Amino acid sequence: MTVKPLPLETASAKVNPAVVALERNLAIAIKGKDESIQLLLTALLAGGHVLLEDVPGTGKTTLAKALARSIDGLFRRVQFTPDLLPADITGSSFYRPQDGTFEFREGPIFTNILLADEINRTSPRTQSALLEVMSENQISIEGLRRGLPQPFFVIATQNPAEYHGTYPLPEAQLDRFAVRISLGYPTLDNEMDILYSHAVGEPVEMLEPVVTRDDIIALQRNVRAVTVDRSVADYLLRIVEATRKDARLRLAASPRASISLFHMAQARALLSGRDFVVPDDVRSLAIPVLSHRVMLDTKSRYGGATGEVIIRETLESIAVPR
Amino acid sequence: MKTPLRMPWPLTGAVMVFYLALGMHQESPGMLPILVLAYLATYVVPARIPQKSWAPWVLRIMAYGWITSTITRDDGSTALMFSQSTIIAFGVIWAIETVIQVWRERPAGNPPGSALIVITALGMIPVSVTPDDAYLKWTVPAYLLLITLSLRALNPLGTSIETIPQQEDADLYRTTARRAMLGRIAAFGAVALVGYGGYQLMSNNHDSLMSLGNNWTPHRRQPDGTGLSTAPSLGDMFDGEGSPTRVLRITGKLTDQHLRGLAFDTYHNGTWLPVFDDGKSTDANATELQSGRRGERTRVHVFTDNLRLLVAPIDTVGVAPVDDIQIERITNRPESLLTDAQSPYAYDLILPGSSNKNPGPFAPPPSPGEIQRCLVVPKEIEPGVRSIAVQIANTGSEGKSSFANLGDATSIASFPPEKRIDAVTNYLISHYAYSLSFHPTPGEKISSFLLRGQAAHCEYFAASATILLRMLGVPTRYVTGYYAHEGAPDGSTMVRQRDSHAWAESWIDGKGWVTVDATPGGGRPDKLFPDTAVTWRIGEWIADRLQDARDYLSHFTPMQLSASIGLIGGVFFLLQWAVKRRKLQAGSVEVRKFDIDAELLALSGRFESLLLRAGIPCPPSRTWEEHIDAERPASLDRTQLERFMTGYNWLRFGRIDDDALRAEIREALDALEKGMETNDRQTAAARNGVR
Repeated sequence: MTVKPLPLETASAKVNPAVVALERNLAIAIKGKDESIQLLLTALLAGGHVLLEDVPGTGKTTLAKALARSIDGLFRRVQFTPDLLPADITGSSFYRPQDGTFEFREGPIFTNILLADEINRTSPRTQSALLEVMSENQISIEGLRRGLPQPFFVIATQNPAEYHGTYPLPEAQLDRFAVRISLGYPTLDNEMDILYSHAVGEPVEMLEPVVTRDDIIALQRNVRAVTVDRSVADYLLRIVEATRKDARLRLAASPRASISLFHMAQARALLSGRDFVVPDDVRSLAIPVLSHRVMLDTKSRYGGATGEVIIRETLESIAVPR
Repeated sequence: MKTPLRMPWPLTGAVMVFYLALGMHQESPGMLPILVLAYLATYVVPARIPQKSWAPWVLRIMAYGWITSTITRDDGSTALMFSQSTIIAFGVIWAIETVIQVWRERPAGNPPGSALIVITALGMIPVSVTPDDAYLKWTVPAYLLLITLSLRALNPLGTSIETIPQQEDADLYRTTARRAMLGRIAAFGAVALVGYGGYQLMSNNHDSLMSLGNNWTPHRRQPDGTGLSTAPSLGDMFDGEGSPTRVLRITGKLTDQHLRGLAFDTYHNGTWLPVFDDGKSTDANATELQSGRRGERTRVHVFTDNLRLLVAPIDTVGVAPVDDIQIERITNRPESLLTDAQSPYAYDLILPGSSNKNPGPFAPPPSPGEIQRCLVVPKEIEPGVRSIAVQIANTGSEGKSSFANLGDATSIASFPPEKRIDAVTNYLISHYAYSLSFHPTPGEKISSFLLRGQAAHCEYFAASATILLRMLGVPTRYVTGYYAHEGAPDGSTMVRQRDSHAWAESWIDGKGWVTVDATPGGGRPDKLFPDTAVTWRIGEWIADRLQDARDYLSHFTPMQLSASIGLIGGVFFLLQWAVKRRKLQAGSVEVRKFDIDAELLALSGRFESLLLRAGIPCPPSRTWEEHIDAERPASLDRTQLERFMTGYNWLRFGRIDDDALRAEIREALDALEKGMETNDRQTAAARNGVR
């Protein structure tokens, strides 16, 4: 007689092997930041872009590089500086004297993974150049629309806005990032690991690609097929609605934010090996997805509140479907 | 986790002062400690009632039902300007509302507690409308001080001014400071306005409000069982006014609309005596009751529980009990008949076909002692009243000066009693107006009304007529009863509690006792409660049907009632089960879906109660997983918890209809419940072991 495995045991085995491999690879490069890695992968599978925000030296660039190396695809990096021009990112046409024509040379944006390092060091004009690209996965240069390679994933890093020599990102651009991740300082144990892991060489340089571009595209397609119960979608909308009614917010969560949260929740479900979304997906993603999109009025900001605080309070006031 | 919303301490203080003030009004303030505890529990219990929840309404309806069932109106004298029962009714409503509000989740963007301030202000209004203001001298200042402090703590704008760097943003600092100040002043002004306006409104309309409160709260069951005041005192308000409770239904003709209940011959200190005493009564025999007379029969149905007194027109010649009810006569009150029968019961009145001069069982001829008592003018009546009597005598006797001397028996005798009665009645009706309330000046009440008042209710007119007629030498006593006037479509007459009335009756030799009603026409129940308004009629109809149902149900014992309710419920569930079974056999998909939901509901209910037993009820805004992570209950097995929660999610959100999955979820839940019981037993055993 064969012992039939219990349904829950079979369920836990349903997590996609590509995802497991990606997670394992990233954990080698970034120690003790499993949650951040999870969020990064969620955004990747949901087809969103990521804003990594933290003080210098916490591993923002390392994380982005580790992801790029783990995927068998094109990776480009742009170091944003105050004198960077839009054409430096998108590319521009050059005159070819031999045959008298213009040749378009692609900028770093034509890639699978774009690391926009220290994005708030450049001027708003250059920042805005990223806008169309990020939302539509296509770009118009000199009146011509050009498609981008798939998958296209932007990881922007920035120092917190209060630091010297920064241009805070415009609201419209903030809204285009699916999620804002803050790494924070590692714990002492983890930092000890980091110290010794650097003895042989940069751990991130030793990473090998574990998934292909096609794997990622397939996963992204699977994400959209994850079912969302009406009650969970209703819970999601009630959270968004609550931010619109909150008197302390000058700018509330947009419909784009709802869509983003919806897809992110689907992606999180897939990452946990489920083909359906549970309220906990929405609840745990609400802060990283929504907090950077809302803007507080001056009084609340001086009162010490942040977007994160307000979203957390909102969550506490809304009943979870059970 | 976010710290739950707790009210600033000054606001809590203000609420406590309000409860204290309310407690001073209440005879049995047992509920207030419960409310205080329920309020203060918010400081320890983190859970709150979510916005848009139906729970507050359930609480309100329960609370109001509870108020009406526990608070009774006081049927005694209403010496206070504002009735106890009204204060309690309104005050308790607001007190309960404060507790409900403090348990609710904070509405986004609103300063917490602003609703609470307004509610306590409303609650303080009924409490402060009282002549007994000794304690107001310290409760009100304390209340206002705490409210002012709480406004400071509340900070209506939600921005703490201290956090704004003054040097960097001087403009914002200034405007915020100014706005905060203005906001507080405006909030305080609003509270003061609510308080003062409400106070004015309530003290100006206290008559109607009080009758509202009196009607709203149920009658206290009177132990003596008369339904009428047994020692009527002259109150500020006319008692029983407005209440549409049915008392009697009379089928047949009536000779007099005044249905007499009790008569009183002695007046002392604002109260009529003798006190009704139902201890000494003897069975009234049939001959005594019917006096062998013939006439038209009129049936009287009695509805109220507390009317054991037979009421009848004064010229009734006989009483015939229906269904063998026992009728007794009170020894010291030959005019009163009683019964022990439980309502509803009925009796027949035999009314004279033609004018009848001989007194019937309700108005036996008075003894000489009774006549003497009916002529006594109490010493406490002020001398000014006598000059009114002189004035009446003079006008009534068409200017004959000889009547100026009231002691002159011969001159009085030439002025027949009927004329004297007419003169007094005319005088009272033409010189005074009717009002449902009268606030006497200090001193004797009848004199206060006759000499210094302008309007009062029927008790004052009846008492004044009694005293004035006695001064004019007519033996007169004070009578309470009902005034029947409300004709029903089927020809019967309905008598309600609000039709209770007071008048006088005088003894005229050769004619017997006669009714003297000196109340102005506008004050009689038929004018006060003309049965015209349709809405009023509908309300009465509903109340009547409810009373019918109550009367009907009172035939059964509680055991019989609960047995029949259980039977009906059992049959209902059996039918439902049968229907469901048939549908299941038919294989309908919809029923299957419904089954999942019912199953989920049952599972989640079991799990929630498990969490409750473990002492960690899950707040609605948390997922179970998050809650378990935060609380880490030692009494519940972690693995089984995970198994249940994951499995439940699969069933609930994944809609995975798999029997093995269900079995596993149930298994996990069973294991958890079993573990809980073992844990409980061990804890109990450990506790016993320590002992």
